[in-house]
Amino acid sequence: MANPQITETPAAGAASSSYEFGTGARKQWQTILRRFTRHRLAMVSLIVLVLLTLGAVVGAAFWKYDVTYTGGSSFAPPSAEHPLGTSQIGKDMLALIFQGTQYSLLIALVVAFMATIIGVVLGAVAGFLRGAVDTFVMRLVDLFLIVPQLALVAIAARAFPSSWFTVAIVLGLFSWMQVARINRGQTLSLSEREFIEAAKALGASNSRIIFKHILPNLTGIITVNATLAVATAVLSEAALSFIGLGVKPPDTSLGLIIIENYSQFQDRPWLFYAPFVVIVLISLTINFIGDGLRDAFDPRQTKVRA
Amino acid sequence: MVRYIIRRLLVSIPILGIGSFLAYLMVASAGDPLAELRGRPGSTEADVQNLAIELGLDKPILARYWDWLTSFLSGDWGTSVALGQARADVFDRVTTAFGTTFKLVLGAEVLAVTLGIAVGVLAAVKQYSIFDYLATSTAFVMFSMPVFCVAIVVKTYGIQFNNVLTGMGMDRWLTTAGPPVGGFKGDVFDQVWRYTGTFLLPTIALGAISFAAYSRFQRAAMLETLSSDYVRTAHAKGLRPMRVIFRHAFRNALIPVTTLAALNIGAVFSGAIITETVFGWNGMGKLLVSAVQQFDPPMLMGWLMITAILVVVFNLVADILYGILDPRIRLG
Repeated sequence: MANPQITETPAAGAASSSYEFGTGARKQWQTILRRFTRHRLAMVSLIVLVLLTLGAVVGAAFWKYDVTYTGGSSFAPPSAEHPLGTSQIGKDMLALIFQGTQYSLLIALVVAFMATIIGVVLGAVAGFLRGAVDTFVMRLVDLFLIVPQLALVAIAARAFPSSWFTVAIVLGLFSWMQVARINRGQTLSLSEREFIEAAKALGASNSRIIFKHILPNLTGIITVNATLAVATAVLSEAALSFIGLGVKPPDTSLGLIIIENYSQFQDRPWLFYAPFVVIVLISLTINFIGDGLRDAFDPRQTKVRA
Repeated sequence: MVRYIIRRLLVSIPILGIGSFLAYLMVASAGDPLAELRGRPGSTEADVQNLAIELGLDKPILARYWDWLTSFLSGDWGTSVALGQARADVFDRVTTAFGTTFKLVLGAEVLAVTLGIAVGVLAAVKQYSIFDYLATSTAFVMFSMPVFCVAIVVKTYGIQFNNVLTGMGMDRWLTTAGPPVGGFKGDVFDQVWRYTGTFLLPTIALGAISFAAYSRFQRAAMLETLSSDYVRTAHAKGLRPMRVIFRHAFRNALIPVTTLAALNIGAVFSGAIITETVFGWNGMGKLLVSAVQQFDPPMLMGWLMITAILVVVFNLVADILYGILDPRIRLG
């Protein structure tokens, strides 16, 4: 170590010094975590979302029927045997929903991941380099926003073999624009600050400034927007599958389950409401979690002692 | 102002140009318009070749784009190439469908903006009241709902409402299958009656989602102006609270939502595609789905271009509205 005099001896130092009086400064992430765990709605949402996800994965593994089972009678009403009834060809609806939830979440995660990576990199680079690069990236954003996303994805997805993964990739390619805009704005204002100037004066390279100084300061915004992107992606995927241009059998998703059953809405409303409630729960809880994260990351928030 | 509008329109021409080129590349690589003919029993290689030449597919892509662009600009948007159908004129099909959908989009936007502003303002003025909590939670649930679910629910209850009407011995009012092909018939009252009956349900279904977003925005904007210094000054001068809220705070709080509504037109258009599908309308939604499924490049290009022009125009409208509402912004 460069400064031996300030490193503590591991055995006696660290543990006792911070607990003795309880005045040790919290690290930033501890503050954030604390603020988040005190956000009641966000915590409840997180629990519901985790239960839903676990339910879909564990439930699918342990439920007595799986999606290949077609032995039920056609459109059986809910019963102890089939809690959510059966589909037209006698599949167990609960098993279908377990699987659809898994696919929907998986697709949404891929989409949000791609949108975040592309959006953050383009936004940070444009905001930091400015000039021609900035103009180029922002015109690119304008270009991507000029036609409804749904139409672009529907056409582009046609070029690839149909599977849930290509739908996710194509959706991701057309979902980064908002993230890029937000991150560009934030980078623009960050790069005016003194610490960036100092880094420049010390001769740091552009990539070092972006990755070491700018991106860590964007963490809050990135986390919040990535979370909200998952919620948006669940809905866009459902919409795309609903008009028949998204996920196709044998893959499935909640949107696809709804389109297969919504004609039964009047006679057998449960076939519609079950996947519908799951979609709404997923996107509602993710939105609340994003809200909680936004509050937790906001340094102006002073409700909780830091 | 006029100079500004002209300059903005000139700036959007290269964007539309580049956009059309990228769209052409995307559409061209998304499929093969000859695939169906190839797969058809009894079709020979010569047939395929003839169709390829007829559609200009033997030329390189840049030449094809140029041909398309020049005829597009001269008003000839080409003909549909979907097999097994009459070679419909793209311009006619797209503009007809666009007219239907645009009416729906406009109606939904007007509904969503008016309701959103009203609810947002009320929620802000009565912050933390029961109404505020109710509005907030409704908005959150609406946000998280897929458009088609709202449409399905609205449609089903519309049908039940019709059943109630017929049960009382009246004619059905709400229709769930879109505007009639030849336009509405009958006297003025009859036409208005049928028009509202046709548009009411889809407009509600489509407007509901944007309404949630607008009411949240309006609430936030209104809270901000209500806590600003000039509003406090106005209160301190002894103006009546109603006057302060509407003359001072409300007018400034209108800016974000108006701009948002104009910029949001693309998203509402996406929503309209879905809503139409649920209601079985013969609009842009059906056109897109059939053009993608049967792979009809000229139709897709026409579809993309007309929506792109719409979005460009509404971006301009957003800027102009912004300039009108906020005198600090000088357009020029």
